[in-house]
Parts: sequence; C-alpha cells; structure tokens
Amino acid sequence: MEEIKIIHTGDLHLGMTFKSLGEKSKLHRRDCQDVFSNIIDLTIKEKADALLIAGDLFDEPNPSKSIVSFVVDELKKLKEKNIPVFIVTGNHDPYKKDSLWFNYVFPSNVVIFDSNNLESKSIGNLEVYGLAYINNTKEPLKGFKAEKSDKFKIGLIHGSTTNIKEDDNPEYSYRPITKTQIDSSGLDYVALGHFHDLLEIKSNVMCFYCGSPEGLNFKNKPDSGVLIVTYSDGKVSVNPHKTAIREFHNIEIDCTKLENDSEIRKTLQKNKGEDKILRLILKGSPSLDFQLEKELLEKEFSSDYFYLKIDDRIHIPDNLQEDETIRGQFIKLIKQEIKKEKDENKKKRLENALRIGIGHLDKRL
Amino acid sequence: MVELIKLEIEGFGKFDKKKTIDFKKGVNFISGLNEVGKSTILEAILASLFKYTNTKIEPLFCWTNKDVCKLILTYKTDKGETFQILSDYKNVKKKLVKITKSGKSEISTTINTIHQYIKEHFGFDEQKVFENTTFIRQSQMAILGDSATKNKLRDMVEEVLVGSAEASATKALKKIKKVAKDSKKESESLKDDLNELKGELNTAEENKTKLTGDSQEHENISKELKTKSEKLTKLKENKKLFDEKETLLKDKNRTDENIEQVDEMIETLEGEKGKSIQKEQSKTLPIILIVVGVLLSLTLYGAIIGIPLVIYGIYKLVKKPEETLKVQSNVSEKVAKYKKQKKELINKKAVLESKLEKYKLVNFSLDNFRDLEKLEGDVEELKSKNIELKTSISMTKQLVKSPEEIKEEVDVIDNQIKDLLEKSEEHELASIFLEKSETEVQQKFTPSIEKNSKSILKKVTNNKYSDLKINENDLNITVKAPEINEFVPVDILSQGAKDQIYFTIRTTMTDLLSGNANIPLIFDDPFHNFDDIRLGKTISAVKELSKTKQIILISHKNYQRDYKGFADNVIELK
Repeated sequence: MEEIKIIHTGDLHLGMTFKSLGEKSKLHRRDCQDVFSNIIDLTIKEKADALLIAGDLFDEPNPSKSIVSFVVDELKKLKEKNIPVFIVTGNHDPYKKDSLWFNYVFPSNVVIFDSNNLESKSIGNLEVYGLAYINNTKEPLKGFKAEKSDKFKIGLIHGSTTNIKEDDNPEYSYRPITKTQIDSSGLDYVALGHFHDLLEIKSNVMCFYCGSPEGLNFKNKPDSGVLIVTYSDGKVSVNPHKTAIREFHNIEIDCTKLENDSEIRKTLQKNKGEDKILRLILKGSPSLDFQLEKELLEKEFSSDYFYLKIDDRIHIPDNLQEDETIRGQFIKLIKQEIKKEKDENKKKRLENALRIGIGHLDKRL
Repeated sequence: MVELIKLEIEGFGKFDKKKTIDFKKGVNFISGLNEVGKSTILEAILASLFKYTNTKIEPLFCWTNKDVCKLILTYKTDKGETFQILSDYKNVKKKLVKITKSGKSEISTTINTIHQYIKEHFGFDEQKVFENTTFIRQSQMAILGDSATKNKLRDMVEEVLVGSAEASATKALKKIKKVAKDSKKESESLKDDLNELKGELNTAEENKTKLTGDSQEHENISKELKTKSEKLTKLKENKKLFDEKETLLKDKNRTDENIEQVDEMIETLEGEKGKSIQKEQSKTLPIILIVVGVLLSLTLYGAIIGIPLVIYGIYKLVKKPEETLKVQSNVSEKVAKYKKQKKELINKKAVLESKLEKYKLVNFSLDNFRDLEKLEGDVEELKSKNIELKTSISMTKQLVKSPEEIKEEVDVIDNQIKDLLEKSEEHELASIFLEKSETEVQQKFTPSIEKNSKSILKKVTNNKYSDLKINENDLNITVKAPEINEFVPVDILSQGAKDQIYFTIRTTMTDLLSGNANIPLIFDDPFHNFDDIRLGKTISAVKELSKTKQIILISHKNYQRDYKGFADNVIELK
C-alpha cells in the first residue's frame, strides 16, 4: 500500500475576537484566516491525501458571511487538486439547525459529518470515522470498534480526554473520551480537537490534539501548528509543523527588590519582536517607592511588539511604617481594610490606593 | 532626658581623620566658619540613628580617606543607661553596644534589631519625622519673620503630622481627588460611546441575520426566476409558432375564399355568354318587322310606314350579330384570366397546406394563454424583487461594520472604561483613607498639643502666655492674650512671641511623637538673620528649654560676640 499522508488541524476559531488584544484584535482575527490559507497551501504542497479538521473551525454557529465564504473559497482550492476535506463540528460551531452548516453550500470535496454517531467515510485507502458535534454529553468512542481492514483508519473527534482534567473547568468535561475507549477503538490514529495546544494522549493507538494553528490566548504555547500524519506499512508517524504567525509569550518579573522600572524596561528591550504578543507579569512586593506607570510603559514599547500587555500583580510590602502620623495612619487604615477584604480584586484596588496615596504624599507622583 | 555623650567621626564628610566631639548637658554650641564640618556633625548624628542606604551614604564618604568611614555615637537614655552605636559604612556593619560600669556588652549587630532599640530610646524610627520635630533649621525660623505666621505655623504642624511624607495631606488629597474625578469623568464620556456602539452591534447582529436571510432569498428567487423564465421562453416560442400557424391558416382560408370567388366569377361569366347566344336566336323580330313593312308597303299609303319598318328591320338584322360577337369574345377572355387565377390560387393553397402540415402539432390552448400571461407577470415581479434584495444586500454590507469589528471596538472601550474606573476607584479609596487618617491624627494630636504646650509656653515666655489653641480641622493657632483674656491669632503678636510659640509647638510635638522620650533639640543655625532683640529673646527661650532637654546648636556666628554666656559647652571647629 502506498504511503498515506493527512494534515490534522482544528480549533481555528475563525471569527473569534480577542478582548485581551485590544485594538490589535482585528489584525489577529485576520491572522487566523491567513493561517487557514497557509494550511490549505501546505496541504497542496505536501501533496496530502486529505485535510482533517477536528472541530471548532468557526468560533460560532453563525459567523459572518464573509468568513464562511472565505473558507468555502479556500476549500475550493483543494477541490481543484482533488484533495478531500473531512470536517467534524465542535462545541463552538455545533451541527444544528440554522447554523452555518445548513445555510451555506460547501464544495463537493468536503465531507461534513452530520450524524451523532461515529460514521465512516472512505476515500481510497483512507477511512475516516467522524461524528457531528450536537451536544456536550455524548461519549464519542463509547462501545466503538472500527471494522478490521487494511485501510488507514482515523477517528476524527472533537472532545476531551478525561485523564487530564484541570481545575473542574467544564471545558474539560465536554464529550468525554477515556483512554480505554481509545485503546480498544481499533483505529490507527485518533485526530482530536478541543484543546488548544499540541498534546499527545499516550495510548495503544496514536492519539493527538493538534492544537490551534494560531495562538488564541496567553495560555497558548508560542509554536502553534498543524500535524502532518503519515501512514506507511501499518505504521503511523506524526510530525508537528509550525504555522503560527504571531507568538504568545509570558514573562514574569519579581519586582520585590526594584525601586524603579529600569529592570522592566531592560526586559522589554531584550525580548522585543514585532510578531510577539507579550504578557509581562509583574509580581512581588516592591517598596512603596516603586511606582508603576503601566499605560506609559505599554505605550512606549507598543511599536516593538505586535501587542504588549503589562499585568500588574504586585503587592504591597509587609514592613510598612505604621507610626502615629497621617502617613502612618493612612498605611494602617488601608492595611486594616485589606485584611478585612475577601475579594482579591478589591484587595488589589486597596493596595493600589495605598501606593497612590503614599506616592502623592512622598511626592513621587 | 536622652543625652548625646560623644560622637566619634572618621573618614566621614569633612573629617578624614578621627575626630571626637564631647557633648554635655544643657546647651552645646558648635561654632565654626562655613565648610569646617558643622553640617557633617548633624549628618553623622542622623546617619547613626537612622537607616542610610548605600546610595545615601556614599556621597558622605570622605574623599581624602578612602579606607575608613566610621561613626560611633554614645548616648544616655531617659532611664540612664549608656549605649553606643558603631557604624562601619565601608564594611556595611552596624553594632549596638551597651556600656555599663563593668564594661561593654554587645546588644545587636543586625540592622533591624538595632533600629528597634533606637526607636525605643529616641522615640523615632523615621528620619523625616525626627527632622521635622527635633531638628530646627535656619530656613524654618527665618520665615517666621515674614508675614502670615499663622499659615507658617499651620504648615509646620501639618508637616509634622503628615509624618515622613514630603507633601502635606491637604496637597496630596487635592491631587488624588482630581485624578479620581477626571478618570470618572472620562469613563462617563466613554460610556456614551460604548452605548452607541452597543446599539450599532445590535443592528449589526440583526443585519447579519438579515444578510444571511436576504442572500438566501436572493438565491431562491434567482432559482425560481430561472425556471419560470425558461418556461416563459418555451411558451413564447410556442406562441410564436402558433401565431405563424394562425397566419398560414388565415392565408389558406383567404385563398379558399378567393378560389370560391374566382369560381363564382367564372360561373357568372359563362352564364352571360349563354344569354348572348339566346339574343342571337331572336332575329324573328326584325324579320317580322321587315315582313310587316313589306306587306304595308304593298298598300298605297302603307308604304309610308312600311318602308321605314323594313329599313329598321334590315338594320336590326344586320347590326345585332356584330355586338353579340364583341361581347362574346370579351367574356371568354375574362374566363381564361380567372381560370388562370384559380390555378395560381390552387397552387398557393397547396403550398400553404404543405406548410401547415409542419405545424400540425402546434397548439396553443386558452390555458396556455393564461399561463403565459401569469408567467410574464411572475417573472417581472421576481426580477424587481431580486433587484430590491441585491440593493438591500449591498446597502447592508456598505453601511454597517461586521459584528466582529464592532465587538472589538466595544471591547477596547470596555477595557478603557474598566481601567479608568479602577483608577478612579483606587484614587477615591486613597482619598477616603487619607482624609480619614488626616482627621483622626489631627483630632488626636491637637488636644494634646494644646494641653502639653501650656507648661512649655509658660516657661519660654516667662509666664506671659500660657494657653494656645489649635483648631483640629484647619490647624489654625490662636493664643490667649492676657491683656484682654481672649484668644488672638498669632499674626498680631510680636516677633519674639511668634518665635517662642514656634519653639513651644515644635518641642511639644517632639515630645508627643517621640512618646515623651525627652530627646535633644538640634538647632541648625536657626537664628542667622535675627536682630539683637529677637536673638536675645530666642536665646533665653532656648536656655529655658535646655533645663529639660539637651540642646545642640550649630552656628557660624562668633560665640564670644553673639552668644556669650549662653552655652554650657562650646565646641569650636577649625
């Protein structure tokens, strides 16, 4: 049997807006579309036998017409090359009435799985098992076993593997998939979608989350991409291919010993990059002499980054002078209030109020 | 009473070599011209008592002695115990030692512990507060000579009360409140923008649905239009054929009619021909006329009638056959012509019939007519509907941004508002707590200042004044004038009285803030510009204070000339 090559992607969330990127949201929205075009080009360049999209291609069930027609036009390019596309829907773009899946016509090379149960569609020696995303609760692989054949059998599923539950986030309980179910699926490769970073699920069967091909938030690793999966002589090999246009980065600085922002400036200078989206997290408890002018710094370095966000998480130091003077009493009163306050956000407001008050009293502001 | 006993300086400020200064009880007068190290001594006392960071101490290193920078300050506490603070700045070391009759014992070498002891002994751990109370500088005294002493005194009290801060609470509050107000105002105006955008977003969402609906309808109508148009074209073609058939049929019918007409004509003509033959046969009348004429002519007079009769009869007999012949030949000609015409018509009919053979299947019913009419109407309607939809789609596309775009704009403003509101809230909180602490501190201290100042005021004014009041809100100071037994503003008092009140309040506050530690008062050349009368009065006030507090006074004036007899200990720096 000849080698079979597929491109595994998903979670593109086309049409998503990025609140945390402020005025750069529009551009990054465009980046995500550009990445989709790049994936189409890659599929052609790699002479892949199919493109697999593991759900959440769109960020919502009714995206703007321009986005859908863009996707349709891109998919037509694959039709010209006779490359099939297999799409399962995700929790963001579920297969339901009045959704885009019913409102638009996709080219004939596109297979959109529309059943709530795993269904197989095969083209040549490639057999893809997929199911439409209709609700959150269905266990996609429960009781499933693929029929024995020589074909390259792939499961294309949008759901969460249950062994990596993180802090009771409901996202992690959507469409549960257990390791045992994967083990006994009889598939050669399980192409998963739902989590936004590349992740291998160790199992008897090769099983991967491809992750979003372009970073969507600060939790994403900077090297987002797609997976190039090849099947040859009954063996599956998986190669990540970076597609990200922008890179999300997080840097932390402990400000405890800082008296001014020169250290922060140095870090911003050292790490700059025009495709970087940097979140600089400031931590620690610097003395009250330390005054952070966040907006000013962000503005100053904005042209050195695609987007820069300074995340102020500094606290007030413990050893503050609580003497009998107004300055001392001011510190004492606010510290009492901070102690009483349970809400972390309000605590931070009070801490900032303390820093502001002292800043003005000490004429540093 | 806390007393400084000895200060040893080496490699610090102006003193490269080791220099020891011994202090005594009462007034210590340190004199010398400028640049001999008078302020170095004050700086050395402060550096010993308070935390000096590296950046603060480095400028105080003696530049001619690069190896050592040491200070040893020996003092006696209120309780009569003697301690020594040993500072070694080059090696960043500090040590507190207790001195007893049996010798020295180390108390601590860690900075924080040492400063806890110092706070216990001197009542202060903030240099700024210490300087604001116990340290009286030249500039501070000098301004008392200007006008509005009332305000100067209030500022002084305010400055002391605010603690280590650089700005008064009032000034800081004003600035903080302004920021709070401005950010709030800015956020309000942004909220208007936001609401407008949110309205736009709703429209955009509606439009998105409308656009999808319109596009779908447009597509559907286009499909319907296509089928109906095709149907219409077919019907029209059919109609055209039918019309052609009709024309042909009409032609044929007309031809048939023509043939009939021609036939009729021929028949008529042939009838006429028959009549003329009949006319030919009636030659009997002229013959009778001739016979009658002849017979009449046979009679005598009958010839008159008989002869013309014969002539007429002969004429008739001769003339008539000529006319008949002419008519007969005309009719024959016509008949031939019509026959030819008939032949042509028959040919034409044959052609038409063969043509009609092709249209045999062409049919157009009344229903077909109705359909055609309806389809024509439908197609027109669909066409205009589609034009409407197309216009509406392009209008929607042009007029409104996509919901994503507006959502992004909303998000940006949302963030801005959030930041501004946080900023406003933080400043608001700062102002609330600062105002609260200001009120609390003033309410707490003003009665104590009033109460504790009485004895000191009495002492320094030589019993002239004994009562002052400080308003807890605006910190205005009034003094009871004995002459009228009423509280008067300090501004109207004499210069001497103003100075005395100043000392009184400074001393009172020093005691209050140090927890009555009875620490030395330090004067940094404060009486510089005083005239002799003012100086005399001040000196006696200070002398009075020195009964309960050690006084350290630095001056560049000549002691023997200006201060003679004032000090208990005179240290001349050269």
